[in-house]
Amino acid sequence: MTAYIGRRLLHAIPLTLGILTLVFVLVQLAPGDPAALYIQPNVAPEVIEQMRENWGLDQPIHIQYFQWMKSFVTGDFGYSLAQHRPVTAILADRIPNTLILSGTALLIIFALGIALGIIQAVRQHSALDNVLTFGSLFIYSMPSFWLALMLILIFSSKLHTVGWWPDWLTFPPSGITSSVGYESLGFWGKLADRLHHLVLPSIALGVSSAAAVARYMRSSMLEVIRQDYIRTARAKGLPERAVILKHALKNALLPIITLFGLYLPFLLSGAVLVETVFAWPGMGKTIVDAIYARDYPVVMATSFLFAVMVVVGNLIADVLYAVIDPRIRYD
Amino acid sequence: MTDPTGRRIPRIAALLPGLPLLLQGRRRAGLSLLALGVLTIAVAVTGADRILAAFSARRVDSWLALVTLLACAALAWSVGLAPERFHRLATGAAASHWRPAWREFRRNRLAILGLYLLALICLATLLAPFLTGYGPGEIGDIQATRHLAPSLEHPLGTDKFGRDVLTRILYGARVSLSIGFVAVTISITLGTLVGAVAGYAGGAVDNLLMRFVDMLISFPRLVLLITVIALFDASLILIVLILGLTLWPSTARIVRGDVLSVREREFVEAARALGLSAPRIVFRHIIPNVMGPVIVAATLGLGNIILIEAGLSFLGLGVQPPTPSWGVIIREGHQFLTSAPWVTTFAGLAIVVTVIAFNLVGDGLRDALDPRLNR
Amino acid sequence: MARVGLEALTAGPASWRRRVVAGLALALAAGCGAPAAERSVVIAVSSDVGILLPAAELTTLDAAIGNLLYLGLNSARWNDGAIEYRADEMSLADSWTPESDSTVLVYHLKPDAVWSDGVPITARDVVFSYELIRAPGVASRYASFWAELDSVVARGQHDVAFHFRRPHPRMLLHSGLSIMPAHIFEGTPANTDALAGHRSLSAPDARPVVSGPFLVRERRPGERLVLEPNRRSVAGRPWLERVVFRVQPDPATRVIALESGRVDVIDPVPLARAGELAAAPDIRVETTGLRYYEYIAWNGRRFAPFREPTVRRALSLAIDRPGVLAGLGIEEFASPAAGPATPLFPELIDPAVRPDPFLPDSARALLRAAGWRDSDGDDVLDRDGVPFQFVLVTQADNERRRAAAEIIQAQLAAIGVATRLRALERNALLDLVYNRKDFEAALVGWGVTLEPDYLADQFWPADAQYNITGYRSVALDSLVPRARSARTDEEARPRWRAVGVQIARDRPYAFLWFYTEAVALRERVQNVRIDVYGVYQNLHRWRLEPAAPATTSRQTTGDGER
Repeated sequence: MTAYIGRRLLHAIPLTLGILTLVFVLVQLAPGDPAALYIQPNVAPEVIEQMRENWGLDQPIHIQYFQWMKSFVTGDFGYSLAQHRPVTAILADRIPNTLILSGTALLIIFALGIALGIIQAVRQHSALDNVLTFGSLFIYSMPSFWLALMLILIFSSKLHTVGWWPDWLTFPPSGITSSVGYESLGFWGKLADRLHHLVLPSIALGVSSAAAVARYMRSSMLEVIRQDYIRTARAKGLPERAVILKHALKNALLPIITLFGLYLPFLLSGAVLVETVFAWPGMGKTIVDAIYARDYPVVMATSFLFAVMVVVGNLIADVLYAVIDPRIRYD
Repeated sequence: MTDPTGRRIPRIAALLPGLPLLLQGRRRAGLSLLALGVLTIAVAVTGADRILAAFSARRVDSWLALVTLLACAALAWSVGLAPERFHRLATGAAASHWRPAWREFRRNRLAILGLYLLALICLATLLAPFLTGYGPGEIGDIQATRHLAPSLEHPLGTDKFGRDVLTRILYGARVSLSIGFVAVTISITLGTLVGAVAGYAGGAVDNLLMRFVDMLISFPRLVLLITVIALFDASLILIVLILGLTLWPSTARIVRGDVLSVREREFVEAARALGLSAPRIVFRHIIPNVMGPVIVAATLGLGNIILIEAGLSFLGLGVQPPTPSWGVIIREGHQFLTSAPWVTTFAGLAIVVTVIAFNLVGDGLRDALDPRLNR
Repeated sequence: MARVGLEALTAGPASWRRRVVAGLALALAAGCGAPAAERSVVIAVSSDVGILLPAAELTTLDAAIGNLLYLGLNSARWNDGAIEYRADEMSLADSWTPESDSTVLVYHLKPDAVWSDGVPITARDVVFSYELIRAPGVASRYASFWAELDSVVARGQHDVAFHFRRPHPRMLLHSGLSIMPAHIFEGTPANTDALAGHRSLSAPDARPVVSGPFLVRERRPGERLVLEPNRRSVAGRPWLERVVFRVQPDPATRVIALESGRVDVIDPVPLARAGELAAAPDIRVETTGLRYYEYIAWNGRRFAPFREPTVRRALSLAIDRPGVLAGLGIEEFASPAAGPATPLFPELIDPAVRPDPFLPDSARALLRAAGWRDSDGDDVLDRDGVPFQFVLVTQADNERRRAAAEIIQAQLAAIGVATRLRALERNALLDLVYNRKDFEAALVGWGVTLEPDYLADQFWPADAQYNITGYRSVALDSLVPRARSARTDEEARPRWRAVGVQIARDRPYAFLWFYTEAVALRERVQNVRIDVYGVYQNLHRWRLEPAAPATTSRQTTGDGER
């Protein structure tokens, strides 16, 4: 197993280098110019030229490539062109935001997905099962950004004008915390304020994948329920709840756990559209902004991180698979 | 033609499409035909003047709609006239090994629902010029018609230029669906080829191709799409190409896995023993045997591509105005989310319904085609 | 199939569940009832502040906030068609005197002016700041202040002399740079990254050393910037205790935030929604003046027919400017343009030059006279087998321009001119239009600077970077240098007016309209001066009226955030 993991990690090195090169090439091929921000009639063209020179963009491409690769390998992500800050500082700012959002979304995905899956499985073919099946299909087929807009429309705007609707059930359409008074809150107040801001984005981000997990969970549970040991457990006269929650659940969860590895990259990258709609200053928004500004160092560092997450996520998924199903052998 | 009790059904019954089938006791087929017939008549009656105008208009989409309408009518009535022959024709055409799958698929009510939905969406899209009296880009007196709430005249309201939202959604379907179909065709073809070659050849070729696939899969898709489209010029062709070219790796992986197992089967061994060339074996013997999962992937992929395209359009990276794709309509409505919510809401619902339809059909196909999941 | 009741699965200790639900509800309720900071406003802005150092600032917002943090020697304000430079509470100098044939200006610093860390502000800071904008590594947009400036010399602690090469109208502008603290940045290499990375600007709890009425309390890039009063400033104490600039790029969400009372000001308001907002009971809309204009540049180098003045005139006549503005729903905030000169400066306007009227028939006649006919019946004009068809590029992420392009596309189609729209993302568009100049027609726009020189930037000389169509005019070759050499405003204005008239006649662009930016404020925000010179120029004077009792039942909380 260790050898397998080691080999996979070794494979990952050329993989990430390849991805980095791909990004570099893409970004270089593209039209556009990081200095475009300076293009204004009252900024002299010489200033723009000077800026390009300061950024080292006037050097031949292959030199830029090797310099960049070199500093990258040594862990130096360079300076953001648009924000004049070290890229690492930007990432340090943004990664926690994304982790909070995606972490909450992941929680929704698995908690809600698993719960719904179990309910559907134990009441297979009931009206509830059908409603939930169709409901999750509906949610699963929704564009996340559209769902986000609908949530904003309803919970930030329309319900606000409904007199009897409680205020605490309308949610802010953007931001991470309140703008005023946040710092004067106590610990619980701060937490509540943050949660309040998290509600809409994490729902928009999470529910569609939760629907997918529910589908997996349902079929996995159905498969388990049909097996002999469950029948035995029932025959022994155990209460149904114990049968399901103690015996069946454990085994039904196994294939779901591997999904976790696959959803892991989503922790960093899944939120591009939702972050854009909610102005959530996370990684997704960072990379979109960086692409628009042609902020090359930021684009490359973020894509690198995304790629690493995917590689690690896949690895975790495979390892979990192996742990769960000893029949799979890796050699 | 006889009914279940053996009585002859008079030919005159065929005047009402589907009636003979209903009398025969084949309810589903009968009702479908009846619905098709009624639909055709309804469109013909309500859109009579538009249809007449279509004869003189020299526009491709009018002709397309006309042909579709005639085809619908022909289908509704001809099948009604000679259902057995048609049935034989339809089933005879399908290769024998698809038949059990079709039987399985037909039993899945949700999948059939999806199929009907898809048929309806496609028909509505093709018949768009007869269904509404407005053009998709038609701008009239903007101030008088801007942001009208849904009413009889404009069932889904109007947008910021006073254009009928229903019309734009119908025409938008053309853009969104064509992008989906073409991109899926590209990605499926490429994915199948690469997967089959990698799986069959094995060794270094396999290794190299799969590493490349790994690389593309590891690259966050939306980020790649945004980068490429933002960086280059967002023409319709580019978007289709990019979507097609970025979505093939997952198909390639599926196909490769299946090819690995198929290649060890007896009939492939036999073909090899007969000295058939590798390309011939791959194309004639291997690929047909892995088509099941590919078809499933294609159907589910279509829904997926429609979602992705909508996302890109929403970011402003989609097709150019005045061509409305659904994502573009959502984006345009987004600015007026609170004052004219119908624009964004209905365009989004159109996406949801379409994607649901593709997912239903895809799931049905998966159940029908994938022997491992057979219950 | 065994049947397990749902209740069986979810039934837990009921009291526990109830407690969680109640707790959550309480917590959420607490979250929205955050204690109000009485004297605070929340301003939703579309983009973040780039850098809090005037030498390196880039955007309008950078400059607006830079002016609040760092005072200049003089203080400028808009006074009915012209900028007026004064010594007041927002200036570091209390007077200035011209010397030796008006090429030298000597500023006298206020002796009590100090930085927010208590260090006195001296002539050394002024000299340092002017050296900073000249450093190549900073690539400052203010480097052009040195164009006519020979040297900046400290005369003791509190006097500083500006030596200009010649007397010219912009001497006060060029000596009005926001002054930065020498004692903080002196040891730092003079390049943007190093300066921006200076501890006082970049540390998580950074408190930039400033001289203006506000201090930076908190800065979270991409999220918000919080200002609080600078007790040591010579500008006096602002009324507001807290100003929060909150980054909210999405215009629709900004509007929702204002409507639902979560913010007090949104800057900018999407113009198409400004009318609707102004009609709301608790909200008012203010405009900054017709400082921005939009035009279609006809690039004759890529599409030959654009070289003919008749063709350009015909195209201009085919565009129904008021109609487009009405279609965009922004007629209140824009006015059709007659040429490149903004109506802001009445003295630069020649009343005889009117915006092109909407005369599609004359347009058709002009094109016909130029040989354009629809000979193949495809509704598109052609001449010598070449159809009148071109690509109009515009900006994808600017809804207004995209929409305007769509309407104009329809209007041009009516006279038989086919346009294909191509919306490009901003950066790619700027690169295409201003660097590579590889386009046929472009619908783009600019803001004008408050000095008439902007008239020349885009049109003269023919090979200037911003002269995107390569427009060449013999008349301008003498008019522009003459205008530039003027010694005073009175001398300069008629000369610039002649430049504007010449350009308007030649129509290198179809000048579409001048428009204003708008901000929307909750009524309770009072004492706000918003004009061409900016939205936040007197932020230190803003006040909040106590909310009128029960105007709208839901929006009476004193805090901006619920």
